[in-house]
Amino acid sequence: MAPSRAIASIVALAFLAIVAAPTRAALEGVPERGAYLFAAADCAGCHTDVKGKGQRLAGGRALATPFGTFYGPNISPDPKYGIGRWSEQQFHRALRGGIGPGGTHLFPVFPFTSFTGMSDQDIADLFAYLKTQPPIAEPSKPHDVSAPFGWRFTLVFWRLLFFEEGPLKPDPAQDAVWNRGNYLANAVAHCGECHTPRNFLGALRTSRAYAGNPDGPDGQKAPNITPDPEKGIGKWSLEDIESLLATGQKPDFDYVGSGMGEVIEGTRMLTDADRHAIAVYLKSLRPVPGS
Amino acid sequence: MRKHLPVLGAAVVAMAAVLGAGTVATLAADNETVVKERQAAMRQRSADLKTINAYIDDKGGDQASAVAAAKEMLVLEQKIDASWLPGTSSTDLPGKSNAKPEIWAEMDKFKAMGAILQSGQQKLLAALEQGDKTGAKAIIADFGRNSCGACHTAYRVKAS
Repeated sequence: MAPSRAIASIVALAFLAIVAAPTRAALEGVPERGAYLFAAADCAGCHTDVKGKGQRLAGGRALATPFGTFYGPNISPDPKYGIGRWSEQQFHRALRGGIGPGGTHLFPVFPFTSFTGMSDQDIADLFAYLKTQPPIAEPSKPHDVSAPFGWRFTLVFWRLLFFEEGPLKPDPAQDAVWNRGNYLANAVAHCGECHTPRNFLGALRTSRAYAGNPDGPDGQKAPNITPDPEKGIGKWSLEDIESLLATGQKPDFDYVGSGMGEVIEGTRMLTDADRHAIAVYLKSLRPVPGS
Repeated sequence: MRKHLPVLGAAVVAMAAVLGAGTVATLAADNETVVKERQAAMRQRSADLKTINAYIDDKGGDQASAVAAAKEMLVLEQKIDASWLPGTSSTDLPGKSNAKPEIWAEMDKFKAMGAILQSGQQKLLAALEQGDKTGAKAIIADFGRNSCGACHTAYRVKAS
C-alpha cells in the first residue's frame, strides 16, 4: 500500500472511531455543583476576554503560544454562536474526548487532555451550569495559527501519540484527600497545562511534570511547583499553599499576578478542604530540580 | 568674524549633541534607579506585612512591631505612588522593570486600585493600634485580593 493510502486509511479509521463513538443517555446535571467546578477549572480565564472588556463566556481572549495565537471560543448558551444547541452528550464528548459536534478535532489548547479525567457527573454538572448563564450572540474569533499546527487533521496523529482518554482512576494506595487533590489538580484545575513543560509538538513532558514551563502561555514563565527545595515549593508548608490558593499571597508576602492571579479568582472559591487536598497532592510529587 | 561663525555653529551643535546624549543616558540610568527603588520598596512592604502577620497569627510577633510596620507601609506607599514615572515600564526597561505599559494607558484605573490599598493600610494601622487581630486579618484579606493581587494580575509582567 502506498504511504499516502496508508495515511488516508488511518485517518479514515480514526474518523470512523469518532463518528461511531457509542452514545450514552444524557446525565442530569446540578448547576450549583457545576458553578463550583467552573471556578475550580477557571473556565472564564480563557472564555472571557476581560482585557478587551468582552462579555462573560463570549470568548475572544487571546492566548499566545509557540504555535500561534488561539482565541477562547464563545461557550455561552447562545444557539448560534455558543453551545446553546449542544446536547449533554456532545459536551461530554468535547471534554472527555476533545471532539466537538460534527466530529471536529479540538485543539489541545483546550485542555481536554486534562478534562478527560473528570467524572461523568462532574461534566454533566458543568454543562448544566453553563446552560443557566446568559446567552451572548457574539461570534468566536478564528484562531491565528500557522501551518501545520493549524491543520486540524494533524490532530489525529497528535492524539494517537499523546492523548489517553478516560476518567482519572483513584489510586487505592493513597488516601481520599490525596485522591481528591490529584483529581482537582490534574482533571479539573489542569495545573500541569501551565506548570509542566511541553515538547516540540506541544504535548506535556510528563517526566518533568509540574517542574515549570519557561514557555508558558503568553510567553510567561510558569514556575516549578514540585517540592524541590531550591526551584520548587519544597520549603512551603501545606498552609502556605492553601493560603496562596485562597488569597494569592506567597510565603514572602508578595502577591501572585499574571496568569496565576486569574487562577486564584477560581481557587479562592474552593472549600478549605479542597485547597488542602491540592496542597497535599502537590507536596507528594517527586521533587524535580531545574526551571 | 563671519568666517568663524560656521565653525562656532558646528561646535555648538556638537556640544549640544554630546550633552543631549548624556542627558538621555542619565535619564535612562535615573529611570533604572527609580525602578530599583520601587522594587525595593515593594519588597520592604512585603516584609512589613510578614511582621504584621506574625502578630495577628500569633506566630511570635508583637503589637509594637506590627504597628511600626504598618506605619512604614504607609511611608513606602507614598514612595511607590510617586515612582510611576514615564520611562519606567517593562517596554522601556526590558528585563529590569516588570511594570506593564498598561499602567500608563489606564492610569485612572491603576490609581483606583492604589486608593483601595491606601485606605486599607490606614484601616490596618488603626486596627493594629487597637490590638484588633481579627479586624486586621480581614482588612489584609480585602486589600490583598482587591489591590495587591488585582494589580499584579493586570499590571505586572511575570517576574522570571
